[in-house]
Amino acid sequence: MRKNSKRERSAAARCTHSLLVLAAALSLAPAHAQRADPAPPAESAAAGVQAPVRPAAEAPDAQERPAADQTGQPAAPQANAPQGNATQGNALPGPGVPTGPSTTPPLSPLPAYEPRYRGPSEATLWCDALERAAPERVRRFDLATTRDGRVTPALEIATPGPIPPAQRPTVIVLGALDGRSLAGAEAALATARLLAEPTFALAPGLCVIVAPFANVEALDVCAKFGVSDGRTSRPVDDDRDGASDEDGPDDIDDDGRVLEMLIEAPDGAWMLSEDGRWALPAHTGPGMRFERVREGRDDDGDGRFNEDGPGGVDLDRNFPIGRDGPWADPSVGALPLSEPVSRALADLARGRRCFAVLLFQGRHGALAAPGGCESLERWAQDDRELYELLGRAWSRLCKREFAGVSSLRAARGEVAGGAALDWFAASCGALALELAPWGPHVDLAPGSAAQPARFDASAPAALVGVRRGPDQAWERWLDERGGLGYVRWRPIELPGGRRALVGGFEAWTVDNPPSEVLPRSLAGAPEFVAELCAQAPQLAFEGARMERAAGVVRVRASVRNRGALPTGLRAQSASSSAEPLRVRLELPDGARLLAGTASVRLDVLPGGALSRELEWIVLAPAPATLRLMARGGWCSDVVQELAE
Amino acid sequence: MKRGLGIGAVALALVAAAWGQDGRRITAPPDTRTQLDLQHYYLPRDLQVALTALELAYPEFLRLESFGRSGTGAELWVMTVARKDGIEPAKRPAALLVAGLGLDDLAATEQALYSIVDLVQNHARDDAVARVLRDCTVYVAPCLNPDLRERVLAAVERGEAPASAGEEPVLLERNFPVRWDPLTTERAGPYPLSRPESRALAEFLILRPNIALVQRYGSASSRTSVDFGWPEADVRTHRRIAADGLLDSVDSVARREGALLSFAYEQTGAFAFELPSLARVGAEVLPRVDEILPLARSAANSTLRLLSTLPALELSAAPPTALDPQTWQLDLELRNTGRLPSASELGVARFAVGAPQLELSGAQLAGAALVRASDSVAMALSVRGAGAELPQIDGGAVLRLRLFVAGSSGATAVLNVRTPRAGSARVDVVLP
Repeated sequence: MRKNSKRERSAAARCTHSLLVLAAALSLAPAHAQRADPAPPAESAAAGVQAPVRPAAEAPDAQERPAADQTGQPAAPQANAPQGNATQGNALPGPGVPTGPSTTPPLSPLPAYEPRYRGPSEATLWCDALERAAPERVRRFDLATTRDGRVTPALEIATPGPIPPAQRPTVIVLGALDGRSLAGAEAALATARLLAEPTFALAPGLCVIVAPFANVEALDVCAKFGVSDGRTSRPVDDDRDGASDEDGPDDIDDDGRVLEMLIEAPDGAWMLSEDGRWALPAHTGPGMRFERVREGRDDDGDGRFNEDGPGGVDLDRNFPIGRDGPWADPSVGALPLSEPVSRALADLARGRRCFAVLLFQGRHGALAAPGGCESLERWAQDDRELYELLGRAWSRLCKREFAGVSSLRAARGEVAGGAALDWFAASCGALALELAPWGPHVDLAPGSAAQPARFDASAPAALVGVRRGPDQAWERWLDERGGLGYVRWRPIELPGGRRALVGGFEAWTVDNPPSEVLPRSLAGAPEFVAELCAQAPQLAFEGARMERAAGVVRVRASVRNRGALPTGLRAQSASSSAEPLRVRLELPDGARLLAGTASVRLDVLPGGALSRELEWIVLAPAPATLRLMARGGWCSDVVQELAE
Repeated sequence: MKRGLGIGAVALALVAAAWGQDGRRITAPPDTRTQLDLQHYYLPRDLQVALTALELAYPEFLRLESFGRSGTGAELWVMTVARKDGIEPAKRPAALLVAGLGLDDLAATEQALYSIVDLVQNHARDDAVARVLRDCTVYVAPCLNPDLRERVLAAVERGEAPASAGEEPVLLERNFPVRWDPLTTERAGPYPLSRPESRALAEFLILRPNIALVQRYGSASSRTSVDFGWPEADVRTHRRIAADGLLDSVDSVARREGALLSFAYEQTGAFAFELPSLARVGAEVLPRVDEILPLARSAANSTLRLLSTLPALELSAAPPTALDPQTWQLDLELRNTGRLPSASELGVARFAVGAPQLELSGAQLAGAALVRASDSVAMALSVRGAGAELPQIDGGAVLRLRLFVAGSSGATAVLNVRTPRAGSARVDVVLP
């Protein structure tokens, strides 16, 4: 069982000491001040209650109130609001789940964000500073502790309001879960900085959680060496020889760099391009074939090279959907969600009303939709329009050419079983996107012919006279740099007479841009998140009215989505935690529903759309006060009282 | 003479009569050291008391431990049944019996409990039981879902229908990581092993590579087999054993994603069976209390037949042949006396089971060969140091090995064969 970190214990102590002061300052309901139990508080004073609307016969003006009035007091918490423990609905405090606004008094202005590379430790300190500077909006917590004891820092950012952040629709921003995209981690940090700005109007009905360095173990390596394999530090016997991590990469040619090797192998999966510059997937036809590995020696003498390097499990293959078993590849983990970080993320997402999950990672430079495996690719087609809309927004804000939206599989150029993106979409019903700050076309000179940012895995493997591989997507960018960052393949002889080539991409090329290019690659990323939050769906009742005829009251209302984004995904999943959109009519004591159902399920409402008109007939003594509540999807609850 | 023959015949008849048709000495009483009533259903806390009492009464055979906790914090108990003297239980071929996952096997908890009692009480009067206790390990988890059991039994006592109390948002039998699919399967959970009970059992199973066999209890009769592309040899083994023991094999019950038996077979390569011990009860969740004992006895008999199929090794050696004053040829026979192979094909393919290892001490191993049964041709085996890796051994099969060892006359060569799931065997050979 995980112990509370020192941070949590000291935070709890500070909370106890400053509780009353903070509550008075922020005018919070008393239930919100409890830190130990993230279970929803008891029904508090009406929150999210729209002003009572008089029946049509009496109303001098039946126009609804503008949306702004609806945001002042969000709806009262529900008894069945999402619980902290996704498995059993027990309200057990999860590891590091924040339970309220910070009690740390502000000490300084917000720390500036500088677009440069840093390691996880420095990022953690920066997150601490952000909390200290804006404690009313920012809460720093520990998402998880890795097996080697490292903390994965996270920030909860929310505008103060009566609804606890844990009960609001939540956007989760993850930096570099793949353990390779340090630029993605920086994009997440920059996003946190923007959202924490007091002048930034983050809707009080939303909460944003940012885990900027989601894979601290691999990112630590990446920050030091400019490249990593993205795996955790857990020893894994990749070659199943009874030893773990005994055959990792080495600088075999003593040139100060660890690149890649192409080892001659009759059944190898790689070949060289005609000009010998590029490695590309093997095709039918003549030509030497190679096995592609990291540069190094056969340290364990088994005839294979670097097949069992340090670490570990690939967190972005440790999720359950489309995941192969460890027999196919030990890096997926012995069991799904076997790693503390992936499990913590899953529990966090399932314990929240998850609106969006944004993964800043990848080397395709674009927005990728769910679909790391074929079944998810098909499933995600129902929401293609939504992904296209967001893909265009990403391209516009990042000032990149829009070339359509790819599935994760197509964006990466290979099947991505076990990807976190697919699970967040299918199991949480979240708007899940992979956003790659870096890609082959990000840093091209103006006017340069743009290269496709991704390799289309479904494209024919061989076009007549032209054979291309994913590496060649970077050709234009490398040429503009005079080839800097890529080492042409050159022959080397391995012990035992096997022939090989050493070369390929250097650090700070494909996975992460050179430091001088980092600011350009990050441009637009935080703004995309901000715009997504601003466009979040918002429910409002329209035309809500009640008309009495003797003892019978007729109630009618519609619901409008005032946000630009829909209220949920169209694609349905049997085990998703996403609640469908429902409108519920609550009756006072003594009243009885004569027609209609107390709870009506609505389809997903597109942005700006109005639902069909709902109608109920109620037997209620005059004067009656009824409540309408709309809840579900990606929206905050909204309540409307109707009173005679 | 005639009188002698007659007396002999009578004696033989008496001896034969002393053995019941089930192989037990019918005149020997069971070794009953504690009273266990099986005319009522056990609440989880009573089950703990009963298990503890059994452990205290039969310390030479039983060890009770918790392997996790349920969603409400109740302990998940597993009883390790194995004679404690001899080879360490973790190194013997093992079976895992699991009961009480859901509504359909709620009443199997008492059957699993009785299986423990049946083994320990008959250790002295049933050779099959004695062999299981001596050579194998049986892990019995009688109640994997104590929270459900508590709710349902309480509801029944209140006169309510058990089905409503047995409603669960996530079903254990859909929560294991095999073909888990949130798109189409309801109540599968947010992710595989999201329930602490399924996770605890999965970890228990994975951490015990000696488990060759998993059995759960069920209420349905055989269903149409589904082809999952499993190795033909494994499918044949499953069906053959199942048919003999009146069980359902995993390929006929693996109809749903996320099922325990499918996970046990596909992840660990353990042979997996369901005992339809509640089939005749029909739609009732809980049989009448007077049916508990007869059902449990029947289930225990089937379980014992299944346990008797566990692989077991015997190693024998012919007298060595001198090739020269310092070099000897040793011809060995390695027999798997069980009906199950030393590993399933899928287990091998998925790296869940290692190969049998031969180790020699007291002499130097110069070479090893496998003698083909068909033509007695010796095929060289790869030797590493003082050992060699052997192929898996089918149930009932014999491997003929030929070793070439260097040693001094009069030395004792000690040969050990160790396997993860078929235990080990040893033979000492004196070099003449």
